[in-house]
Amino acid sequence: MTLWYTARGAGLAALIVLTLSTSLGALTSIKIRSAAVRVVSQYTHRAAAGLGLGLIIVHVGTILADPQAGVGASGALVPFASSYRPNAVALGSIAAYVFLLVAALGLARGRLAASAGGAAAWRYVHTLAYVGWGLAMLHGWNAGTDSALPWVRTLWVLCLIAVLGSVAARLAVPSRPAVVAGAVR
Amino acid sequence: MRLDIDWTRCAGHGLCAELLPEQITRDEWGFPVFAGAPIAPSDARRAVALCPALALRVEHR
Amino acid sequence: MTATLVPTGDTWTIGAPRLLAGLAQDRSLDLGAHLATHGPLPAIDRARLIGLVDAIALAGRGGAGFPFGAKLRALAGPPREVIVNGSESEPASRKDRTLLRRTPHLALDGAVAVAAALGGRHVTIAVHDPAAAETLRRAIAERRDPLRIRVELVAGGFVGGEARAVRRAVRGGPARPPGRRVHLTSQATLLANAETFAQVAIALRLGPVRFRDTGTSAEPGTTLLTVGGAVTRPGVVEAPLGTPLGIVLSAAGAASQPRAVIIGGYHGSWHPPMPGLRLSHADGRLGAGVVLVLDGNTCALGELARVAAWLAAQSAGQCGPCRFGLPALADDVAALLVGLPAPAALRHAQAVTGRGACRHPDGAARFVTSALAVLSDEIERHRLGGCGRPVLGQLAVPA
Repeated sequence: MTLWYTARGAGLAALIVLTLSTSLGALTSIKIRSAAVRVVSQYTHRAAAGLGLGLIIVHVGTILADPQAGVGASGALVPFASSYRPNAVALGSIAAYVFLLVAALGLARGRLAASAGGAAAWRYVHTLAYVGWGLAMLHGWNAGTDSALPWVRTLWVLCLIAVLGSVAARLAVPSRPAVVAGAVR
Repeated sequence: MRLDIDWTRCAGHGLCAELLPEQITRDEWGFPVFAGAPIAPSDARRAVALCPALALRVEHR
Repeated sequence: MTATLVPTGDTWTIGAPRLLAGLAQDRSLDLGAHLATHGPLPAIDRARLIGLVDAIALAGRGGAGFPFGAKLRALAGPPREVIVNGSESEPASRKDRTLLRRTPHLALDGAVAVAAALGGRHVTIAVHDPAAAETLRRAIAERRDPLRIRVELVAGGFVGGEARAVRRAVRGGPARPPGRRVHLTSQATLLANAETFAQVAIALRLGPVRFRDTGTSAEPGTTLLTVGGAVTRPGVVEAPLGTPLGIVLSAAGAASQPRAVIIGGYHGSWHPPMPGLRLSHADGRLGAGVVLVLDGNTCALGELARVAAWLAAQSAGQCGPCRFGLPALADDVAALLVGLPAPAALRHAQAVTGRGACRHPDGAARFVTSALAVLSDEIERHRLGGCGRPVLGQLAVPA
């Protein structure tokens, strides 16, 4: 049973830290007066993303190791192949792949910044993190054993508010208008 | 090896100057001014990774 | 050297004309007249072309003065496209559009010969002047060239004529310099100024020995200048390289003691009158060949302020230091007019130098800094209440 508890705990924890990372990511484009605050939030964003990926690995690993989970290797790795709640598990698999892709390009960010095309590619792929987060949220709601518990529901709603609020703030406050790519005339 | 900036991308967020105050200052509009002091390769890479606008890159020469 | 003036409408020459040969009042040379004046275009291969260009030490005529031979050698293989930059974004310059309007076949000959020698199949001529585009299209229709030539009308604006901006514009992109430096060798296109190609067409016909008949031994041949400001005969001038500036100025009808001379246009430098200065592309001072004269009747500081404001407005707004720094610089110069001291302007000029995707901030800073050095006594006069002269607009600012 330990494996099963670990799997559930890691899944919930992953959702929380990835929510933190996603919110901070959305908020970085907002003009914050202090560069020091920005540096801290940038590093927290990255650390939370790394921790979230680690927790996903623990989450998936423990589910694979647990014979009673009814998911199995193919069920976890191949979307819709699980015997336990195939659609709900598939959401989680796809979310994990999306986060892996985003993280892989995140690691190559320094090199991608060297060319205009690379920078654009990084931006497009990095935006997919919102998709990954959304899928992870749906996965948690539908696949989670504990999602009916009131405190888990409360946490879930708080995560939803955090990211939607951050994105709303990002859209409401125009990104730093200092320099626009466009001719004056 | 040196830090190269794409001025069309830089929006003057100032994280690079926060990270490397010895080597990078900011002008009156917030845009980075490279003091000319040498930047260690590891510092340069950290600055590149930190720049929210992807305006910095490490140039190998 | 003698200052023989051969009037050809809005153009004139010092010494025998080469690029401007055969021009009559306000007409452009059609193919027949062009061939009658210059003779047929000889074919040349890559090795001999590079040998010829090196032998005449041809420097690019777009402003940077980069050796054309080095540009040819930097190409790894046949260029995908040969681009003739006739966009002439320097506001005071008229020489490229005049060349393309009046004798379009010269630049075409040069571009076609270079493309053929290098194995290129496409020639693109980028122009901003609609009349030049029209003349070129008519000229192309007259010719039988074994490759495709197209005329591309590109957007104006000072930075729009920068070489990398033109490369982008002819590919359908925005006419703005890109932020990332592009290495010369990685480019599959060859871009040079319209006059550079026209000089190749002259050299192909004359050969290296006769080409060296005029000019200096270090820089043989002629160059085109645009002379303007306080002169009685403004226009496009063909003069041998090495001609003393004093001869050009007196031939243009400048006052015997001009207040200041600007060499290299609005990215160039102000100088006290230097009649002994010899025309040369090698030192980079001449830029695209613009020579502007200010006399003692206008408020020189006011002229500077107008151009500084215009230069600020010409920023594409892509790079922060230029976008914010050039207006600050223009404000500083305007402050000098009402008697405030100069250090702020010098500080802002320094603050923008080298901090952009292109050289527009550098050129604007050089223009202002050199002016302040020449106009120190004017600054003092304004500090004491003004110079009492009106701003006559001797430095034209495009609307």
